[in-house]
Amino acid sequence: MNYFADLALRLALLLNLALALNIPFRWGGRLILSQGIFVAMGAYVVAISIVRWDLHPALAVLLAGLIAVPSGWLLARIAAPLSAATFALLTFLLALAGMEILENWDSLTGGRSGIGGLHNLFLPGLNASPKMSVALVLLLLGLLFFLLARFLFQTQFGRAVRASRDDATGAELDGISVIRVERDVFILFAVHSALAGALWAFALPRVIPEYFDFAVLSLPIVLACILGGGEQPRHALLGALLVLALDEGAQRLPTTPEVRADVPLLVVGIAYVVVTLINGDSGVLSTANRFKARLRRYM
Amino acid sequence: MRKPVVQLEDFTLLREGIPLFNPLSLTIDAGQTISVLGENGVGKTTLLNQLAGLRRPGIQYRGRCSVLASATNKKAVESAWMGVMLIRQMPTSYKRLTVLDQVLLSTMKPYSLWASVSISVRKSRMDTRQRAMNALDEMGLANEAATLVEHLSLGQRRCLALASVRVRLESGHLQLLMLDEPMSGLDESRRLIFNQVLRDVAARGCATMVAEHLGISQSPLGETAITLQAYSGEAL
Repeated sequence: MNYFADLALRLALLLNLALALNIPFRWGGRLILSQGIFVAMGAYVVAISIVRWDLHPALAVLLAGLIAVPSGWLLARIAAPLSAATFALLTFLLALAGMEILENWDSLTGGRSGIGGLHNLFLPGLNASPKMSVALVLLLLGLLFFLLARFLFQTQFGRAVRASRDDATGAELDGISVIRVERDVFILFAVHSALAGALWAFALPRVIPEYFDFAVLSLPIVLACILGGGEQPRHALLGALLVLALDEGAQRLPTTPEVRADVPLLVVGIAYVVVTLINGDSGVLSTANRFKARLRRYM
Repeated sequence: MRKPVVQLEDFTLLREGIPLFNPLSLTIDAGQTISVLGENGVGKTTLLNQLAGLRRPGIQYRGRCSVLASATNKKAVESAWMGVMLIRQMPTSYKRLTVLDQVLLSTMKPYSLWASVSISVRKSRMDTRQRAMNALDEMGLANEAATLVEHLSLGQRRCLALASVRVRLESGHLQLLMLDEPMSGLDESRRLIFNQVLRDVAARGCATMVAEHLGISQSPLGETAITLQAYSGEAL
């Protein structure tokens, strides 16, 4: 039972984070390598405000979402004059700097030992474990953002984000303020990531920095978005499912305990290289379609 | 009395302090179509960019210039919302958008997240879509509505740009249309459509500026033609 709760929790978190990254990355062409820091922001805000300030859990989650707004705005200001590649590199540095802060600002974050003592989350009327409860709430959050993303994709905003990516000068000539569009995109990304982190914190024994490490959290999400392929929210979900499946499969490979922790990332990395070599950044769905078309030709 | 749409007085553009063309004085009124002629590199494109609010590093201007009664220091976004539209020599192509989506962007509905979510935008969606489809139909692109723009030929992209003109015109968001060498890449039938769009634009009281590089047998598209002369004097 505990295994399924763990799996559901990982799935819910991955789905949320892949959906959050999909908008700036696949719609807007802005790769963000520091998503873990935004998730950490949400988790730490919840931990600090509940454990130290005795805030109500619902208000703590709300506070985490609100604090993410200026951080998303700041990210948009940073991105404005930068090319996509420079911006991606900068977010990587931001991820490293963020980890340093989490590990070394003892008075705020509790350093490497982090912050513990969060109340367990129980859903009223449901006989679910705290982990499963968090997974269900996360899935609900994911569903809300999935529906929002699906709606936005077909609105002027969704078109404007994708237009700004394809031809920024043309977009300006069409009356699209690329800076404002990016601001909205980054705020949406930051709020969703922080809310997911805030809810996830309730399922953690302690909120410690290593959960938010680049290789552990941010990189698999980037790979999920790439493997998913397209721009539509469903592609992000597909990518997240694929990464989870690869991860689960990799953990069952016969390896020594010393290397077991690194195997899942290695397997996901190999899958990424294979799909990219076959089909550029068009993802696994497009690759599958190409194979299908080729098979049809032979049959 | 209505103010002119474009007014230039002793206007020239400078690249690193050197004027591109001899100072120019020009007035374009509503409904008027003017051709801007000149050799390659004389500054036709730079002039249109400047009027549309596209700034290029190292380009400055001398003289007086106003577009829609406001000084030419507006950004491209502000100019677009005032009713200025520029179709560049390589027309805007949002490669990963569908043809219909690119035309829908020209309806000048708000682009912000909050406005998109609002009910008012949703209410008028079907009407907007129909207008966009009509414009595509007129340009012979209705069958390509779901095609990605990256799969269109250059000629089709020019027609797509004309469909956007049509939609902007219908939405009432067009006061000044500027086209940079619009005829290249168009076949005969599409040239006829193009001329029809230009006539409609003028009939609706919009001003048009067309930058052209004329061949021997061609005549300018505008009712008036001005020729930019390469600057031959000293640096200012």
